Amino acid sequence: MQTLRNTFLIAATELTRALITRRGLVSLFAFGLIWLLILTTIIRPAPMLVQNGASIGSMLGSETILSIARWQVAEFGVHWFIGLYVFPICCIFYAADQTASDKVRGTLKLLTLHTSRSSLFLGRFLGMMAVQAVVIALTLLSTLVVAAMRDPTLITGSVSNAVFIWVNLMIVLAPYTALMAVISLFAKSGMQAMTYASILWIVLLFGIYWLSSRFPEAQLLKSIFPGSQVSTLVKHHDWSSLGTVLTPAIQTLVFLTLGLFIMHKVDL
Amino acid sequence: MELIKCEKLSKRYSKLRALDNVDLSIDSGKPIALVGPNGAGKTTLMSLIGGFIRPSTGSVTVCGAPAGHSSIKSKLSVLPQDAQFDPNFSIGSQLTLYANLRGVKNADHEVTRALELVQLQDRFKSKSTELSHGMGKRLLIAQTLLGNPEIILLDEPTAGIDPPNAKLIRDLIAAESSNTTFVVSSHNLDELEKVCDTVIHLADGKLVSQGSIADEESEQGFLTLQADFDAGQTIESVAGLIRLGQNQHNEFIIEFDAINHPQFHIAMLQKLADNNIRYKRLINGRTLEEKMYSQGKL
Repeated sequence: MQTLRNTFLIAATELTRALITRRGLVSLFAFGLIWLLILTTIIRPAPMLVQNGASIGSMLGSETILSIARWQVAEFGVHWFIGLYVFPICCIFYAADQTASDKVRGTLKLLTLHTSRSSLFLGRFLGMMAVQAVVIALTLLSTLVVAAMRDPTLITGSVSNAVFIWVNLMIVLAPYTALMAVISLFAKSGMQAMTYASILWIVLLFGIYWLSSRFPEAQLLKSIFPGSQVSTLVKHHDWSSLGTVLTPAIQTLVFLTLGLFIMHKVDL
Repeated sequence: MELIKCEKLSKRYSKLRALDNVDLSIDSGKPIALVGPNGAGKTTLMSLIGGFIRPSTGSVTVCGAPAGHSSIKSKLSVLPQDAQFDPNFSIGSQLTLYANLRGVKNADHEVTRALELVQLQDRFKSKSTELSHGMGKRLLIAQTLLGNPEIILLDEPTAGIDPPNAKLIRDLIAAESSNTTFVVSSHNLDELEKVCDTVIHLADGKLVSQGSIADEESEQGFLTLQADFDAGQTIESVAGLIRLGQNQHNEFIIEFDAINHPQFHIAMLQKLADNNIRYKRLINGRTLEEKMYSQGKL
């Protein structure tokens, strides 16, 4: 019971770090600027983008444009597409320093004096997920405002679109966050964790590509990568998307189990 | 009551054996000094007891449970040598978090109490980066006091800090030692002698000795006298003297027959007075430094 309580206490602290501390606010402000750029240059002109789909179809792929066009509110169709490909990159960046710099600073030692390593590791993961939940909700709110400004009757449809995207993006981001939690245990800084993640990604990708050329069954190994379901998911615009939830759920569970094992073995 | 038990405890860092087959038992009671030169294994031993690192072989138990186990979080606390508070949060909010994590009831009150004990009560809203080195050490000690643990390990609590801060920490250990068993590591043997009754001596990762600081004073008496150089001749003339030595601090180390001449120190002081020789300081016994390094061991 105390472990569960401490897990939520740690998660709440991470949320506070993101939303109240100077460091957290600077990161959010930087992301806000990037999002503002995306909002004004890509999401706001979304209806026009869908109408002129043929001309940019060559850039994004006509199938993708068609799937965006199926959305009740075009702005959310574009948000969905961008969210699936941009947010995981932001996640790798943002979730890289879950434990790395605290370990170097010795703050992890202080924390482990007062709580278990499990609650610390899981609390940091949950905290990071909570921060992303808030950030994604804010981006969806901004898209909703943009859509409502174009046509106020779209608000009802926008809310259901927003809920759909929020739930699905959280599922997509969970394994990325869990993987970065594991990598962060080996790194001395967030930057080093990102470097390790890049190396791991490239080595595994080439390894699987090489294996697949010899053994076609090795293609299945691609499912170990977070986001392996995204190419399928992007075509969904209704709750049938939850049919793809098994892969990220298993990935998250495996990464968290591995992380907990390492967390208990690692010297602080 | 046995608080800490180490059995055949070893820790290796690749080829370096930082701690080698240490058997050790620490009971509750007065403060215990952990001494030894650099690289002796003091920090490694504290880290193993604190559960920061895992033994290569052997075992450590704290209050009967393996080091690092959740059940001993409320019983043990540690001042790690190299730890810092998170610079993004205020001191008060972090201490409150720690108290809540420990399951302390009325965490706010407990944090105020801990900060008052280290005289940092007016720094609740400060960030750790705004504190001096001495204040930082006191803050780290404050987090060890949360929830009144049964045992507190302090790794170099006074390293690099000024005398007023060092005194404050010594006084705090003395004041709290009736509730808590302290294990204090330091290179400052004078300081340890002031607060500790027992000493654990490590060297090259091995346990050299463990025992009372005053253990060997029963048959031969020892005095340490800081006085002018010419006091030596006078001391040599006092009946009961076995051996007279002198260290680099201008201190005479006097060994005497304590059984047949129990009043040796009075006779010696009388002779010094008769010869108009002034002395600065007289210690009953040898200093810890003298015991450890002049004859190799305690």
